[in-house]
Amino acid sequence: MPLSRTDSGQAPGAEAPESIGTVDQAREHLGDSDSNARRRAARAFVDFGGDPAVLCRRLEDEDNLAVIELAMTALVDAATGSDGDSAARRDTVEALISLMRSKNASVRVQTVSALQQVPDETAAFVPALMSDPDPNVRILTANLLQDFAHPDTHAWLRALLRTDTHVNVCMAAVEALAETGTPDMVEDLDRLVDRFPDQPFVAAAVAQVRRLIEGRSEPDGS
Amino acid sequence: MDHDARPTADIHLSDVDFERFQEFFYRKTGIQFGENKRYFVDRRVAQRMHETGSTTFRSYLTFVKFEVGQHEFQRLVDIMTVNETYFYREAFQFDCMVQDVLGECLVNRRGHGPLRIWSMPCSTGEEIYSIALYLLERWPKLREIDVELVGADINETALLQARRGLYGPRAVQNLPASILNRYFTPKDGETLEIKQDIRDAVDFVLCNICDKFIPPTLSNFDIVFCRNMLIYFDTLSQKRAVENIFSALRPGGFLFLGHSESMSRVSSVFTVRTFADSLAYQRPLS
Repeated sequence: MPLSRTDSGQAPGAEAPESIGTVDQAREHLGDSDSNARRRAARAFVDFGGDPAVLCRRLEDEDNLAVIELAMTALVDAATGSDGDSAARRDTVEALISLMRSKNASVRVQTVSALQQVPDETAAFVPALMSDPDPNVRILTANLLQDFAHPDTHAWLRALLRTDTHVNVCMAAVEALAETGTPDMVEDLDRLVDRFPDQPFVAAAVAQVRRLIEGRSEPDGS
Repeated sequence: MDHDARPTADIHLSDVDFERFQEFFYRKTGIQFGENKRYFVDRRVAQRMHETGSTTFRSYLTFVKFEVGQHEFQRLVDIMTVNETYFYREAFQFDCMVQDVLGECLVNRRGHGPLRIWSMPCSTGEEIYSIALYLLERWPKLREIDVELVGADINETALLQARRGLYGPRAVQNLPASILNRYFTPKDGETLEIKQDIRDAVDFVLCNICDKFIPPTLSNFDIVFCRNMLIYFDTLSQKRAVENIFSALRPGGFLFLGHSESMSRVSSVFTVRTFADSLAYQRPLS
């Protein structure tokens, strides 16, 4: 019967990956031409306690999504792990936040997803992100808050609705509230329509979210 | 560890104990037990505390954490992760495998080594043996192409049962009589034993899919079945697991998830492929 079994420690045909024994070796392999080697290097670099800012800078030029995703998971591990001290965890989150300005769209998207997994560590940075001079960073911050397990999330989103001067930031906040908004936010939504009277899509989006929120507040609404 | 064992019924976990257990078990395994699993967890922890003679949860946890060899930790994992399954469960995915996916794997593979298929978590073996039966019955190319089968699980007791290959009537209820007659031997009572040559064809490996590094034998797969596991994990554990599976697949290899599971919120690195019987996730060829 050609069902066979391999009991060896190494699968047949598997290329033995070049071993990475130090943080310097890991840093070197972050620039390897083979994406599998870069994935291994990203994990090793974080596990050896490499500077997260170095890895994040490297990700700016990374075009392989599998490498980006693995590096993000490794960074989230570093931001939540019991191995590092609180300063190291903060440094990791700070390095991740720097990627919200990345020119690489995949990196920006994955960064938001990573930060959503470490809300306690990220929360301290949110007020500064909300007042960032770059509206693209503020839009990403609203995206971040769409799925951000922190007690201040609604308050932050409402603050964006009330005060942000850029209509796209406000629309990102409206979108974030579509899933979790509550009736007490309707007033903020209505005021937003008044703040942007020349933008008909604001009124349309607010009307849609209002319907969702008011439907949700009904006893059997779901 | 204390040695004045109390009867299981007298052992109760406080809310704080439960939270500490949740946190510890998640950190070690990636598996999260919510409040809705409180009864399940309480009963099993109480059982382990009774059997180890622990009089308090704190002393039990200390024992589990620091025991040389981590035998009690493995027993705890085993008792917490038993999932009932059965032969030919969600068989439409096996149809997809033999009708569409294996053919593509033959085209994609480099060199002439065997095809490799991994079942994770394999529990007590029903899935990986189902795959073996499907190949034997419905994939004529098996006469020409070698296929290696690997089952892996975090539960050591389940792996032992898988290697034994003994099954009751519930596990085999979906199998036609012709398959039962050809590949199983009646044992005591209603128990059936899957034949030795099929048992011998499967390699069973202990593995925590959320570990940073999984055993090197878990690599170079053409197909991975990882069904109804990710739903028990939180986002970070799902990502770790999927990254390990991605690494374990050959370029062009396929992943089957449970029919109610989706990769969409976990990872974007796979290509979704829709076949006549099922969809599968493919690792890009390059």
